[in-house]
Amino acid sequence: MKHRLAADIGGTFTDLVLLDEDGTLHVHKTPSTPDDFKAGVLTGVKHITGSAGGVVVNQDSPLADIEYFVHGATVVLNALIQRKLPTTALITTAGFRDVLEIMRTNNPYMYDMQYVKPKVLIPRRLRFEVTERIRHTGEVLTPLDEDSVRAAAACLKKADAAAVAVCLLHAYADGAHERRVREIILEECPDIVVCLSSEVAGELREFERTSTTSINASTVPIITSYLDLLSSELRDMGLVRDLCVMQSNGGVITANVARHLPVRTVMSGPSGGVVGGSYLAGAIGIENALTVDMGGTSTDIGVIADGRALTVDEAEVDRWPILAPMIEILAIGAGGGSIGWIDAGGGLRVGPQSAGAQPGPVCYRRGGDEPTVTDACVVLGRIDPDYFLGGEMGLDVDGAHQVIESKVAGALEMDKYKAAAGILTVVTANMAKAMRQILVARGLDPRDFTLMAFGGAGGMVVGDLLRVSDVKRAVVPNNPGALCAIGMLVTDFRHDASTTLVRSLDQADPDEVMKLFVELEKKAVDQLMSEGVVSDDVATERYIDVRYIGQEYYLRIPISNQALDVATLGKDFNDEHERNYGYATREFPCEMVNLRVTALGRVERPSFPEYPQRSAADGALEPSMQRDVFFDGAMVTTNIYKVETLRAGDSITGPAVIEDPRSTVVILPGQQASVDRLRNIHVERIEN
Amino acid sequence: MSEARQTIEHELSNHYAVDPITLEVIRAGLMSVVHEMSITMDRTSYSTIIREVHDYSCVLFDGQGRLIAQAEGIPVFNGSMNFVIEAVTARYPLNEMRPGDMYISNDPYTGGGTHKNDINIVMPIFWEGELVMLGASKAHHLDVGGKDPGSWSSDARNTYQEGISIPAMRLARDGVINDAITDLLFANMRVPHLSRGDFAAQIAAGKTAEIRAHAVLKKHGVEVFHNAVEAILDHGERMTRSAIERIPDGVYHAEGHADGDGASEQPIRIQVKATVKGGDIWIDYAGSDPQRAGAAGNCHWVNTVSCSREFMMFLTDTELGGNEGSYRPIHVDAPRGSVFRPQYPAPVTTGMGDMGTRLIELLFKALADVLPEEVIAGTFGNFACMTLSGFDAETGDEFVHFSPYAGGWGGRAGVDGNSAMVSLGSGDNYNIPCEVMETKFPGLLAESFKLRNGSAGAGRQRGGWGISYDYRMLWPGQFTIALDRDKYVPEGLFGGENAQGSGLIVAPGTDTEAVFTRTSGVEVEAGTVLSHRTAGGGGYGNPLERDPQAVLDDVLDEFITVEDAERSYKVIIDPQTLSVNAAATAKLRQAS
Repeated sequence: MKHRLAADIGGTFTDLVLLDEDGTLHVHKTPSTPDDFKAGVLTGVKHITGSAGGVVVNQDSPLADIEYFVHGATVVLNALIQRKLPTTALITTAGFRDVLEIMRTNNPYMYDMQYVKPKVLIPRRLRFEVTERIRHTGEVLTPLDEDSVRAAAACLKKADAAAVAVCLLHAYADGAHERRVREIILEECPDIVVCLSSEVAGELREFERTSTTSINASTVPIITSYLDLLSSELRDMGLVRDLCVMQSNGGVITANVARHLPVRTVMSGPSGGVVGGSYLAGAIGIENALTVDMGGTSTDIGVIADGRALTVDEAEVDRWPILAPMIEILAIGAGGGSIGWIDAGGGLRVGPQSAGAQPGPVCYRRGGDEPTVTDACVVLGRIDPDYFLGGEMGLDVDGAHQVIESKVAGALEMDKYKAAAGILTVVTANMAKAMRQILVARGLDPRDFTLMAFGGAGGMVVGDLLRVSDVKRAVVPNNPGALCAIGMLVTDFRHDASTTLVRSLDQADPDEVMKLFVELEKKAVDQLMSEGVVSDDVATERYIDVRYIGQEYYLRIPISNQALDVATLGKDFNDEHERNYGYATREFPCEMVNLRVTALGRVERPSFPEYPQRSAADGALEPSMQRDVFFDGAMVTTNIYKVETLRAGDSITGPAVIEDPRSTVVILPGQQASVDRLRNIHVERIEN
Repeated sequence: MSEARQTIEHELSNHYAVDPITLEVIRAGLMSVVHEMSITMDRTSYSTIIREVHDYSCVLFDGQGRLIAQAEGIPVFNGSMNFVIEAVTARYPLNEMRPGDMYISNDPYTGGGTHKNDINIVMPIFWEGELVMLGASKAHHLDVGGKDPGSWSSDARNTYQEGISIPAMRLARDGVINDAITDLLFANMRVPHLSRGDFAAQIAAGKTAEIRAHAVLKKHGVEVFHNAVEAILDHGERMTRSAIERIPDGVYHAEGHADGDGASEQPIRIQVKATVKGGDIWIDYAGSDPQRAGAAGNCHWVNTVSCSREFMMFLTDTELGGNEGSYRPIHVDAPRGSVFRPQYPAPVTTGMGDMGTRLIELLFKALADVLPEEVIAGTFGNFACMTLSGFDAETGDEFVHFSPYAGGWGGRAGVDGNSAMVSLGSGDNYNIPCEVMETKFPGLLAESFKLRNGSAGAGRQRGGWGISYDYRMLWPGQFTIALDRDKYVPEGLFGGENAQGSGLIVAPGTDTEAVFTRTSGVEVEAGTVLSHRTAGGGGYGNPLERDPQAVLDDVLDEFITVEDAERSYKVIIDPQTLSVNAAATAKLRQAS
């Protein structure tokens, strides 16, 4: 039993990949079933382990040979965005029940007076207060009034709440009151789900912590019922090991752990793409990569630096912050369905509005009537209307031409080809801006990075992105649509733990710090062990967040696992500050803010299937056909290649289009593509 | 698209030597320059006012000193930045600037500043020996001296009481900072160590601008950049014109009152006349009172112009950001010596917020009848700033906790007003979390932080709720408060009700309870509670047209009582079952 299986639920399709013990990769796509996501997953599992995969011997127990099944559970994100959440309550320190609704008081769109704050996650009638007060030092100012807790518990019962988040002021400094609140609630309401802020997100800033804990509490019942039902069906199909769930931090946890921490799975889908990209980068010797996953409505951008995916400690879903380590993803409204339009000042804009999957681009014949990026690609000849998705869709080429002509070209007084090219230029300029931003915010130089373009539309614009951005080269992975699911096959088990400890560096007690690290590490490693990871496979990393005293933001500095050398820590911080922001004030005193531990349980890495070099029997690489494609202001007769005819070591000079039914890679004039042994397509500028 | 516009577009494509596509690429590049300046400010700053509140803005000018890009931030800042450049270049002509120069100012009268806490730093950017751009940032420094901690005194009687004045000065030449200037500044500040760090952040932001701007120039060349700038500015102008064209030609009037100037409680009469013709708007504040003795009553000309521009930007599609061109069709006038154009040495710091927001709301009021879908009912008002200060009981160090506060926004045509949002002029400003506040200021305790029940005005779309923030002073100290909308409360619109006004209640519920609105430097004993209550927003439309279910929601959430529901909305709710009595409601509403 060596096969590995991954299922990634996307908005439109569920992608499955099965890697068998011979190293052959099987890919399958099936429509997602948003009313009951489980149905789509099970359909896909049956298909890929059955006839298509052809690897399963025992049809009665098709999953018996699966040693590892990873799942990207979109259910949490979906429930959150649609607000299909069970009745959830919140318990706070007396005087602070409105923190969740007040939010941070800002208007993110400074000139938008019509801005509407999002509907509060938990309405006030379900927010209850208890009498207690702890200070930032952990000192108890007012002891917990247990009667007030029992009164709140009575309210929970009356409201028939399925879950409750407990977020007391300064609980990151001492969680004792929160823990006692939980005990009392469970005495009064034994069936309720209780989540404590000190356990879910033990960090400073009450709104962000309350938001995170509330999201976690309200999604525990959702992920629990989903995973229970799915696991039971999978067990019936023979699955022996626990189902694993992808987390937003790029690691996996078992379903059992995910039930308690759904907030960690919110961004699991996009993070799979970055992990897949990172694994692939390692396999082909790329240290630094910018992953650009372009789908129908949006593009997710991630960063791999020195072989590792960059993470952030906070992200937002629908304006609600989540404090949890996550793979950094910058999502922008640029996809194949993004709409081109002319603004009141006569400027050409693309997105963020999208025609999405419904009604979709005009050429999809589903009632769309706005010009999209995909329509522009049809007009330019980049997409073969008869080959797209195996020709199943029968694209409406005339419709695409008409809409570009009437809604864009006329207004810009250009011919429709230049207008279509303009749509592509604007959308890729927006993407390039975002690519640059995510790097420079970290002090990273785009010129050191390789662009990795995937997703349904990534290959379509890879050449354009290479032109307008500062990166030097690009790669389109083999099976670009399934990279997220592939990423899930190769992820480690991962747990993060952190605690806030504010100490100036010259007064920090290394023993106190190391003692806290040992505790954090134990917490994280114990969880790995409980998931069946053996100690030989465990690796831990320690970090301290450091800043100048008085400064608000901090930088994360890795430290050794053995001992804390405060002088080195200070120097490393100053160096990092200089690298990030161009200056360091070494004479200024520094302080530590948070201690963080990452514990990884390494899984065995499968290898990707390799493709042979071109043999005599293959003959020379020939284009399958030629087609007129619009490049740089004129129609150019362009060679079209089929992906399956490529062999390792092949080289193609642009302009060229490389197609398979699921994806299209466009190589511009002045660019050169080469194929590696994993059938990834590398694109570079031809230097003159 | 109209035929006229097509003709314009045609002329434009001949006029600019840059195609519309390249234009968008350069615009995206310039926007990313200012965005990256903001990231640098945010990450390297020291004070809570910058890092938590985000009280700063970063912008870019071209080599002629014209605003070409502005980052998301504070709208009232962005519309004022050209005054800084004008003040700097009046003294240091552009052709005498050199690489490595830095310029500084804060004074509204001699430095084009908004108010003295807002310190401007301007750095020229050169390319192949030519001055091509200037990067500039404006950031609120916690204290710049003056009569009260925080330098935000609503009762200041002259500009000298509002802190040290920095005219346009050359802070650095050839990359070397003039220590004499910074030493003098820090010696006049109550908490110089924080400003020192924030200065470093502003300078780092300027350096970021230079590096990123060079990358744009290297990619496209300076000629394409120059051509693009003309097109970007003209595009901004057309965006504003198209917004103004939605307003029917005509002359629109509105008048109102501000509460008081800090020196006296005599109401301040304000008046506006807006004349719209085609794509231009003339805004004139003639008829408003003469300038006042106290700071809360005076809106410096820089802010009058900036707030008038901001008003227009609220009605304009600004996703691509505003620029100098955006402001071309907006013509502002006010009589010299009036509250909207006070003369030296009138105090102006807090009036920027008080009178500035009144001014924007006055314009909404003037245009409400012709733009009913786009305007907003009265908001909670100014920045509601409060300073709590004192000396650390253990170290003896002085501390200054200055922050703006949020309140309720007015209802709008389709939606209720936002609760607990910063003022119209504050944009992307955040609150300071209670936990951060207590960590930074151990002498202050947050007793409660709530939405203020009953504070919003009823309406078909009701206003948003104000806040009530109670502090306990653990050490003796002093407070400075700058409120308005206490007497002239936020107004309802189209039949909506007015909201409850604001007030700082000191020692609430005790024998010594007292209410303050515009007062500075008041000493309080250890143990005193200060309850800062901001106004709600005004209602929009007839409350009787509000969905009874929405009224019930507010009762269930304890924002209003069953009695409030009956009085303001004529909705009858059974106090036992807490459900709407539909029949009784219909009957009562019919009879009303």
